[in-house]
Amino acid sequence: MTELSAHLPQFQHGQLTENFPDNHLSNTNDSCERRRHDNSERRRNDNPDSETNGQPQNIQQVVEHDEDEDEELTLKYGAKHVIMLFVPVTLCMVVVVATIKSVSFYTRKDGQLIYTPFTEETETVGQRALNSILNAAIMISVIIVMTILLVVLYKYRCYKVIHGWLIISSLLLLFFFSFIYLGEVFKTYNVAMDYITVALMIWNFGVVGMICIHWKGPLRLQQAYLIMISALMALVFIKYLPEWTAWLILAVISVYDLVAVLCPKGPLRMLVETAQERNETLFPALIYSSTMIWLVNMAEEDPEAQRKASKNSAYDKQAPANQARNEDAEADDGGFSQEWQQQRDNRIGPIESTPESRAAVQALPSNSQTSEDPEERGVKLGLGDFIFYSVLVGKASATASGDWNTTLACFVAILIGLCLTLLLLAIFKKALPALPISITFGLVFYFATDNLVQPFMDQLAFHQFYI
Amino acid sequence: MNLERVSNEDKLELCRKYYLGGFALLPFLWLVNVVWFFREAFVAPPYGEQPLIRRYVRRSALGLGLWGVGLGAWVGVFQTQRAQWGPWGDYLAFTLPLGTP
Repeated sequence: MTELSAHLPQFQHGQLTENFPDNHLSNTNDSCERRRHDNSERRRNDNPDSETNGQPQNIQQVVEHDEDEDEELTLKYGAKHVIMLFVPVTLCMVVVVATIKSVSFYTRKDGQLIYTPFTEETETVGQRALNSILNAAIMISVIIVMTILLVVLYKYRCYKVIHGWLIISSLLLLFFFSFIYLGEVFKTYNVAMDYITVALMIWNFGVVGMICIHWKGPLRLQQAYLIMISALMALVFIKYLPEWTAWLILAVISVYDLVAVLCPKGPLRMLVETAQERNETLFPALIYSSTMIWLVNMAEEDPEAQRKASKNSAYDKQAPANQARNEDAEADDGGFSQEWQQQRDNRIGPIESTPESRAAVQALPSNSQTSEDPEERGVKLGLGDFIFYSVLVGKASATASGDWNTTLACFVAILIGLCLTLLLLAIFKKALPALPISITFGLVFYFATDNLVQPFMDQLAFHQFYI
Repeated sequence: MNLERVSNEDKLELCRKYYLGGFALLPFLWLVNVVWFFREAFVAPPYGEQPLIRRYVRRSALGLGLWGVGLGAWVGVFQTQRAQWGPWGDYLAFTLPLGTP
């Protein structure tokens, strides 16, 4: 399920507030596909323009073929897709950890966001605990409100609002945050830089980013940009969230993710179901897609459809017989997908709690019945998940006494959680939250390593005892 | 997006839009254009729109080269001569290095 909350960023005295949508990935399973086929059959009957010769037979064959394929795919869909997600998640975390280690700006305390008004510099431990709980509660409620707002906007088809929200979020992220990041990197490496070059660099970076993410661009470049904005967002969170608040927020967000995606009345689930009813793609722009999903008549469809397909919309599969329908839906969703993307980008507001980051991992089964490469299955992960994973690892590297031990332990924990989530995805074939398992493992590993393993290693090293 | 699944007219249109967009002080867009469409323009077997795509890629590369030379010259001048410029150097500088120049 994807959650979307939009924040309008406001910079106030070093405090950044941002609205960001939450995104979850939903994965379409084969049952979705079959449902689509059924829907497409019905639509086909209603739509006089679609090709009808031999279609029912083809659809039937497709469904049967898919069923057979599904059983095979449940086995095949495994290691390759896991690796396809490992690489971007690892890259994002590496960027965040490298920045945290080298650029001191992101570990310096320069105030807090207005979403976490209570300070943690208190006299007693109890007061600090209370403050962090209150901070986390405020963040979570902001996120819940944003998510519900997003679902309401989507339900009442206020696509323009969502679209504008996403555009503003992307603009903020691509221009403002990267400007700050660049400035801090230059200061760290003691490099002189003039305004003209900096302006040119930021302008190029931002505009090409907007083009790649919201319009058409090379897949690799789009993936790179999504990773970069996730990393920027995670860095903002790491900077502006105080310690205990950050860990609490991570824990509560995982729980909320679980609830929102799996409960029947959860906002994300409603979002996914609404999108399914309307047969629209869900958050194409807010989701990292690892590969292209090919539809049968890709070449004949407008590039809009293609772009959306490449964006890993889980619901982007439509039967070939519904090509006309596809194009309509695609045209409809064109703006929508951009909005979603921006929402995801915007989500990463530094101060905003990140309920958005929950993204379910989504595997897209190929719905083509032709000899299109059956291996071309996209795996999708929401950008919110990237952000929260990176926040966890970044915080671990910034504040742990165990330093690299703890960082690596958290990194491994998150990857293990991702594997398990993908496994569950392959089994259940529906939208799943990607945060809970990974974040739980990450938190457990962080506290265990920091408090148990690290002192043990220190003692071993101190006594020169090698095991 | 994958260029293999796009029709030739759409490829040409995309290449052309990237080329025109680069004139808005966007050499990076020209770089993306050159890298992305290089295979289409020079390596792929010839098809109807290829000469036009080739033209756009060549022009993007030319523009990129000019931008590279200009930017390189400016950055070189700035980095080496900044200290001697006095107040102007400081006005232009976004970050100033600490310590003696």
